Amino acid sequence: MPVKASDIQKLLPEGGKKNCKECGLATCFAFAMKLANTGIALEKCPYLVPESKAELEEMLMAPIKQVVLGQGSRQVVLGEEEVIYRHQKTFLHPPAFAIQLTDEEGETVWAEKIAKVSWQFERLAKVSRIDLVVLRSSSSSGDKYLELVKWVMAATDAGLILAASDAETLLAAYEVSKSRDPLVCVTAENVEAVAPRLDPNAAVCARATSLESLPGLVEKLKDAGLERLVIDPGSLKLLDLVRDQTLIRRAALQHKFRAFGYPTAFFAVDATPDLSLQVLLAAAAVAKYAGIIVVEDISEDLFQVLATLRQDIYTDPRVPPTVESKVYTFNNADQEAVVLVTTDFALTYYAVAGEAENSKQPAYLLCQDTGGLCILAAWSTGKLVPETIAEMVNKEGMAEKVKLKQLIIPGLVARIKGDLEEELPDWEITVGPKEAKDLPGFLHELKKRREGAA
Amino acid sequence: MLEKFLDKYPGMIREFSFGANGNQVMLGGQNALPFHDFEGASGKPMFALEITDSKPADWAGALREIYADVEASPVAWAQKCATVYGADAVFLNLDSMEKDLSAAEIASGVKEVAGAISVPLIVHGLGDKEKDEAVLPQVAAACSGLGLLIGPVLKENYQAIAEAALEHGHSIIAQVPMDVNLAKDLNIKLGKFFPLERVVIDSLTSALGYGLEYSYSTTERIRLSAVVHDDKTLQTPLIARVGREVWKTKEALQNPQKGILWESVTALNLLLAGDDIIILRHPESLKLVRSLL
Repeated sequence: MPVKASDIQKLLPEGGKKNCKECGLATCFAFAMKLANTGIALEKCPYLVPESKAELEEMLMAPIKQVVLGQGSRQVVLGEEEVIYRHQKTFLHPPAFAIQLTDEEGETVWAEKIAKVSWQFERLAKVSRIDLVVLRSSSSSGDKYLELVKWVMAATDAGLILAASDAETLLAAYEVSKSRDPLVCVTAENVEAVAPRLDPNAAVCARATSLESLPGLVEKLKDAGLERLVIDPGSLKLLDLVRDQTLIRRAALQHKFRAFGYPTAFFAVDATPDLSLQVLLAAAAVAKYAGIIVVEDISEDLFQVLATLRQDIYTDPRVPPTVESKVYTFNNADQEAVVLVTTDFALTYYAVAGEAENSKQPAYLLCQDTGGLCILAAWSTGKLVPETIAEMVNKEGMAEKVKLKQLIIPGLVARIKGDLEEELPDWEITVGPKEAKDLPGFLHELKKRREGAA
Repeated sequence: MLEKFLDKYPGMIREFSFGANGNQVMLGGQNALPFHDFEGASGKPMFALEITDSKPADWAGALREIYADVEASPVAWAQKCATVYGADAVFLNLDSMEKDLSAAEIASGVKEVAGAISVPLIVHGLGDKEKDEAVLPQVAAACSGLGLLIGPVLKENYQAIAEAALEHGHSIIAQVPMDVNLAKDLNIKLGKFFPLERVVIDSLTSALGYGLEYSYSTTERIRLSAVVHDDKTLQTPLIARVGREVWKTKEALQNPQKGILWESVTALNLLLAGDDIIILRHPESLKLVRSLL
């Protein structure tokens, strides 16, 4: 819930009626408005009494704290979310995916898993990766765990998460990997031994076994001076995941419950040994607010599924994804190529482009600037009509590029054929299929017919 | 101490049932958001497998292999989905409407399928407003009393199809293009002569990577309006045609294993958003999603 400017004003000097202008704004209310939008620093007001200042700081604090993990190009930003439903406002920081290595697995498995951390999956011009590595102590040997930590530090620059239940093992690993700023997992069992011995600026994951016991664990960490927190309610089933993550998000945003005002973690790896089910749970966690999602292992297919979902859920709901409006070429388009028309709505474009490619036929694709509308919406708003198509054909000099002058329009706008023929008298206008998937077959038929005629 | 974070919701989804005597299924009755069992009744999703009444020439090769033994017979195909794969319902596409078949022939084909299975039948036309308007009322009449779920009913042709469904005891799928307000408008129109207890909404589905976020948010907003804002016109179950969309993506076509994951993840996310009836094509996806629930 956003802070009201009028509530802020009441805490400013003389009840917000001083209007000294020393902050650079005309009135205290204007200053309060800026504060509410986090557009100005509280310190700009020279007359704030300490009690009011503390109260205002509390009031203006982001309901979900930002936590940055990892370093350099591997940095991951979590938290700062402001809404429960994605249509209200974009979900801000996509969850980090983590893969787990255990000290008992041994170097062969470690190497296989670490190789996956350098995978790069590109879609809609964005690169997705596995962001973090969880180092889990499953043996009872502190030495084995340290060996794993050192091995991983040398093998990857990705951010690290330390998970060992034995306090001494965990602290030894923390000392060794401190330069990498690891996220240290702390539980109710080891918090007393571990928390006092961590740097105050250490990043800590509070791993509770239930939502109910999580606030107590968080308070203990805060009492130890630790503030860079990620919280894990220990959900193990789909229903618990939805309940825990929903209540955490709701408590933080709507009730300003500070113990839940942190990014969350979900360890799918602890829920089931089945990798496909881990990934399905992870998929639910992407939509349902998790900040860090941990799986035991992942295949390329499974990773692509999760990365695609993360991109989908974290797109801006108010701006349709678009591609650049221009002429794209496929299969070495030359004088013999046909000319296709579509819109710049990314999902439409990718469907058509993929099939144009699959068709193995040389083709140009005119991607019309429609502000990201699908075919029918673009047509009905006048952005994909005979005039706009003819304008693009002429502007791009398509008549000089091809011998055939065959222009293929989407089947969904078959009705514009006649008018387009009037706009482009030198061209043969052909109505293409309604669905992109039918494009290869359609182009193949067209070519056969052409060859038959010749 | 967590009680203070729990919400109570004013709205409830209408109880909905379809199917003939003995094979009826119940849906609806939710008074909480999806999977919010901690705040009320959150409902139990239903899974249907999709079949078609003519050779599925445009289906993915991997699917045609699975159904190769039954694809020539809609009756055998429907039975396999219900008994071998355990689908809660069968979703029959009337692709034969593209051919030179009379409405009467198509309708008697539907009746045969409905009579051959022990689960309810969902019957779906082409989405072509004239053709559907010509054929679906005849299907409704031929299958009188069998309690079908018939769709799609569009704002352009709802009158004729809904009237026939009403007369012969069927339920209908009100289909709108991804918009809360359009869904509301169509249900208001239907509500004037058709009981909303017998309507489910299809707000159109897109697959993971191909606009899933639009379906996700549209579905979520419809369910929020119904449950949180007590909008009576939207208090109906929601249906999502997941399989059809997923099995035309290049990911599914190139790699069937990936297709199963693609279908499962799309289905799961739409369930989280609020869909109640999920239409799938691959039986493995059905198994996978069910094993999680």
